Amino acid sequence: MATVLKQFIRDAFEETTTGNRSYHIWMGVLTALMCLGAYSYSVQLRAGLAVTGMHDHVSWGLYISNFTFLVGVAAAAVVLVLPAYVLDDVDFGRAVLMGEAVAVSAVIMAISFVVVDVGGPARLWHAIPGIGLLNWPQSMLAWDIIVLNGYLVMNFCIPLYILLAHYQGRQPDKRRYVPFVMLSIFWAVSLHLVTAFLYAGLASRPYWNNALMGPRFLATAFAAGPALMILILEVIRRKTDFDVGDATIHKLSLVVTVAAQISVIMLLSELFKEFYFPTHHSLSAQYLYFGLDGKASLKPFIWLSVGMVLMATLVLTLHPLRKRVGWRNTACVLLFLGILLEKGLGTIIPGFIPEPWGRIDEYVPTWIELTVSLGIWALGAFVFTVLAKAAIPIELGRKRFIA
Amino acid sequence: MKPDLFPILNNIAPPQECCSKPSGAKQLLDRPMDRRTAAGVMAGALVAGMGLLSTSCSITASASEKEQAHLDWEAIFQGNYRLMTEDEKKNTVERLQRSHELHTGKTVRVSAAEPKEKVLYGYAFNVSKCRGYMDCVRACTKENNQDRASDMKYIRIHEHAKGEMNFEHAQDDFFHEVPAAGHFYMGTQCFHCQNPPCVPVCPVGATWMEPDGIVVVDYDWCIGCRYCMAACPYDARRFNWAEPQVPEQEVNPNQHYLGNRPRKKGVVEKCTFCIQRSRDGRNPACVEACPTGARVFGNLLDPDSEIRWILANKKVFRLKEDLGTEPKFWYYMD
Amino acid sequence: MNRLFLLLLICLGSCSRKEVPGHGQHLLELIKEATEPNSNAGVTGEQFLDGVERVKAKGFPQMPEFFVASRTPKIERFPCGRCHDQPLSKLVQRSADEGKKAHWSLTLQHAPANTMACKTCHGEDKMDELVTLNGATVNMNHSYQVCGQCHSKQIKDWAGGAHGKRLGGWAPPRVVNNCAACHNPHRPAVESRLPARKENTTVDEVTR
Repeated sequence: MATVLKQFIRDAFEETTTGNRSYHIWMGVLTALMCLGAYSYSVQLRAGLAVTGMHDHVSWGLYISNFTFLVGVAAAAVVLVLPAYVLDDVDFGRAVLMGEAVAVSAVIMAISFVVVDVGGPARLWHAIPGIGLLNWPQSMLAWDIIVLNGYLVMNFCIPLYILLAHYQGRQPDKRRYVPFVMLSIFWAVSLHLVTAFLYAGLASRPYWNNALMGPRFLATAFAAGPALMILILEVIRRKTDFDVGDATIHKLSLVVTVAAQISVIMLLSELFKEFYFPTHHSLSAQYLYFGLDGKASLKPFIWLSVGMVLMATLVLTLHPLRKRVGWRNTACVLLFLGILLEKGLGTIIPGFIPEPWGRIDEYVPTWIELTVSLGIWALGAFVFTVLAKAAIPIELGRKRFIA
Repeated sequence: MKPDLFPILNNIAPPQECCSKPSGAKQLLDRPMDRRTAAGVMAGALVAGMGLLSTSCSITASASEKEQAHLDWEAIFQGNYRLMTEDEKKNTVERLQRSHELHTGKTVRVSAAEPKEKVLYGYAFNVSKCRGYMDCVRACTKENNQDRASDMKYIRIHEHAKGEMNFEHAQDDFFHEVPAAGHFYMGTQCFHCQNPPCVPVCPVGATWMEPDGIVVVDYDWCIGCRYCMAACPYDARRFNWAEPQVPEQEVNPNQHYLGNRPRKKGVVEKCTFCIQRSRDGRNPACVEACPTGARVFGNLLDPDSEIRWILANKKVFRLKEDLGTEPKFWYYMD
Repeated sequence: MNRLFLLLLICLGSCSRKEVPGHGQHLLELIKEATEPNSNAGVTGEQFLDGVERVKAKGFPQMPEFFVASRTPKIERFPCGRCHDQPLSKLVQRSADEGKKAHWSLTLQHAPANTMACKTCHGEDKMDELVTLNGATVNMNHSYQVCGQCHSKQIKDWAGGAHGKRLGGWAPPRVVNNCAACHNPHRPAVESRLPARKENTTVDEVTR
C-alpha cells in the first residue's frame, strides 16, 4: 500500500506540474492572486480587522457572506453523489469525482473565509475538543466547525479511495465506501442546514429568524452549486479529453432548473411576508430592496441579483433554450452570480441593518477584504485544478500503478 | 466530546464542577494524547513561541526581557478562566499584574474576586429622570479602560421625541443643550439577561453568566468570531477592531480579570456592571456618575434593596421582553 | 442513521440548561423566593462612604432602616444663630439701616408666591431649624420631612429608592442624599446644559 501511495503522489505531483502554456498561465495567475490575498491578510493581521469595512453594527461582512455561499456550493455535491453512488446512475457517475473536487475546494474556501474573519486566529485551537473547549451542542458555530471538517474529510477520502482503486486497475469495494457515501449525503444536507440555522437561530435578527431560511439555503445551493459544476464540466470537456457527455450535463441542468424554480417561489413567499403588511421586523427587507432613511447601498445589487435569477430561471425553464449550449451556459453564469450576490450581499449584511436600536449604519467592503476574498477564491480554484488535473488521467486510464 | 464536559457548558456551572478541571498548559499537558496529536499541537505552539523562546534563552536579553518572554510564553497556553482552579486564577492575575508592570513600570491591581453568594445584580433606569447629560457614558469609558481611538461606548443614550417610544426614530448622537424641549431620554447597555442569547452561541465557551448574574467574557479565550454580537438583540457587545488605545496616565489601575483589564485587538468586550467595583460592594461607575439619580443598582435577592422596592412598587417594563431574554434591567417612571 | 440522529437529540435534551439550579426558572420567581433580609453575603459599602456624616431617617416605619447624609456640613454659615441673634423684625430693621447683607440676594422661585414664602419652611424664632406647615420644628438634617409635606409622591419614592441618589455602594448601609443636596429649595428647577460627550472633555469645558 505504501508503495502505491508513494507512486500515486509522485504521479500526481508530476501531472499537476506539467501542462501546456495556458495551464501554466492559469496556475500562475492563481498563484499571483493568492499572494496578493496573503499580502492583504498580513496587513489585516497586523492592523486588526479595523482595515475591513466591518464595524460594531455590521459585524459580519464579505468574508462570512462568501463563507455562507460556499458552504452551499460544497453541499451541492450531493446532487451528484446521491444518484451516482446510491442510484447507480451512469451519467452522474461520470461527473461525481469532479463534483467532489468542487466540494473539497469549496469547503477549503469556506474554512479559509472563517479563519480570515476571526479576530484571533492564533487562538483557534481553543475550538479543538480536548485541548480547547468546543461549545457543542449549544453553539451552532460549533456544529458548523464539526460538519465542515467532517465534510472535508469525507469528500477527500471517498474519492481518494476510489481513485486509488482505479489507479491500481481494480474496482473499489462498495462495502467499504458506500456507508461513508450515505453518511456524506446526510452530512451535505445538514451542512447547509446547520449553516442556515446559524442565522435562523438568532431571535435578535428578525430578518434571519424565519423558518424558510434553511429550505431556501438548500434550494439556492442546489441551483448555484450544480450551475457551477455545469460550467466547470464544460470547461473541462473543452480543455481535456475528459468528456462527461451531453446526458450528464442535461441531467444536471434539470436539477438546476427545478432548484431555481423552487428558490424563486420561496423568494416570492418571503417578499410577500415582508411587504404585504410591513412591520418593524420588515425593516431589513425594506432597507435591502428600497433603502431606508435615504440609505440604499445594497438596492442596486439585490435588484440585479433578482433580475439575474429570474432571467436564468426563465431561460432554463424553456426546453428549447435550455438545450442550447450558449443559452444554458449563460443562464448558469447568471444564476451562479445572482445567487452569489443574493447570499452574499442580500442575506448576511441586511440582517445587521438596521442595528437592534434602529440605526442605519451601512457596510462597504474595503480593498483589503476584496483582495483577501479574491485570494481565497484563487486558492479554491487552485485546489480544484490540482485535484482535477491529478484525477483525470487516472479516470481516463492513462495513469496506472506499475508494480 | 466526552459526556463529562457537558456540565461546564451550561450557563451556570456549579463551582465545584468547574474547578475540578485543570486548565491552560496543564489542561494541555496532563491530558492523555496520542503522540501525533500532541506533536501537531505542540508544533503550532512552537512556531508561535519560537521568538519568545529565543528571547528567554538568549544571553544578551536583559533579565526583565527574559521574564517578559517567559510570561508571554505562559500566556499562550492559558486555559479558559471559568475552568481554572482558584490557584490557577490567582497565578493568572499575578502574571497579568507583573506583565503590566514590566511593560509600563506601573502597578495595577487585577482582582479575581469571586461572586458572592445570595447576590444577583439588577438595574433600574428611571425614564422620567434621565436628562441626557451623558455623564454616565463618560464615566463608563474612563472606568473601563475603553478604546479612546474608536471612542468605544457601552452605554447609548437615546433621545426620543415625546409621543412615541420608537428607537428607529430616536437619536443617540445628539450634541445640544439637554434636556431638549419635547424629548425624553432612555439609556441602553448590556441588560445582563438571565437567559442571555449571546452565551450559548459562543463556539468556545468564552462568555458565560456568572452566578451573580453578570454576563462576562474571558478576553484571553475569545477567538473573535463575533457570533455573540450577532446574537445580542440589544447592541450590547463591542469588538476591538484594532489594538485598543488608552493613554498610560488614564489607565484605571483598579481592575478585574473579567472586567476592565486592558483588552487586546480582535476580542469582544461588554459592560460587566463594573465587576471590579460591584463585587466589592460599590456601585457601577454609571450609577455613581449619574447626576439625576436615574440609575439604580442593587441585589435582587435582598428584599430590602432599592431595586426590589422599585420592582414591587413602581410600574416597570423591560425592552424586547417578547424575546424571552429576561433582562435584569428594568425601566420605570415617576 | 436514524439512531444517530436520535442520539443527537438525546444529547441536546440532556444538556438543556434546566439541569443547573436556578436556571430556567422564571427570573421573577427566583427574586420572589428571596425573602431573607440583608442577604448580601456580608458585603458592605461602608468603605466607599468616606465617613460621610449621616442621620437615621425618621418617619418611615414601613421601610427597612436607612440613613440620610447630613445637611448641616453642606450649609455655609451654619448655625444660622450666629448672625440671627436677634428676632427677625429687628434684623429687618438693621438691614434697612445698614444695607442688606448675606442672603438677601435670594429670590424664591418655588411654587406660586401665594403658596410659598420664606416662613413656609423657616421658623421665625428658631432659625437653626425648619418648620412644618402647622408650626412643628424639624431638624435641618431631616429637611426631607418638610419637602415631603407637599411632595408626598416624591418622598415615598425617595424612601423606597426610586427617587434620589444613594451614596457609597449598593451594599448596606444605605445612605441617601437629602432632597436639598440636588434640588436648591429656593429654586428647585433643574437647568439644561450640554451633554458630557467625549471621555476627555469635562462638563465645564463643554459648557464654556
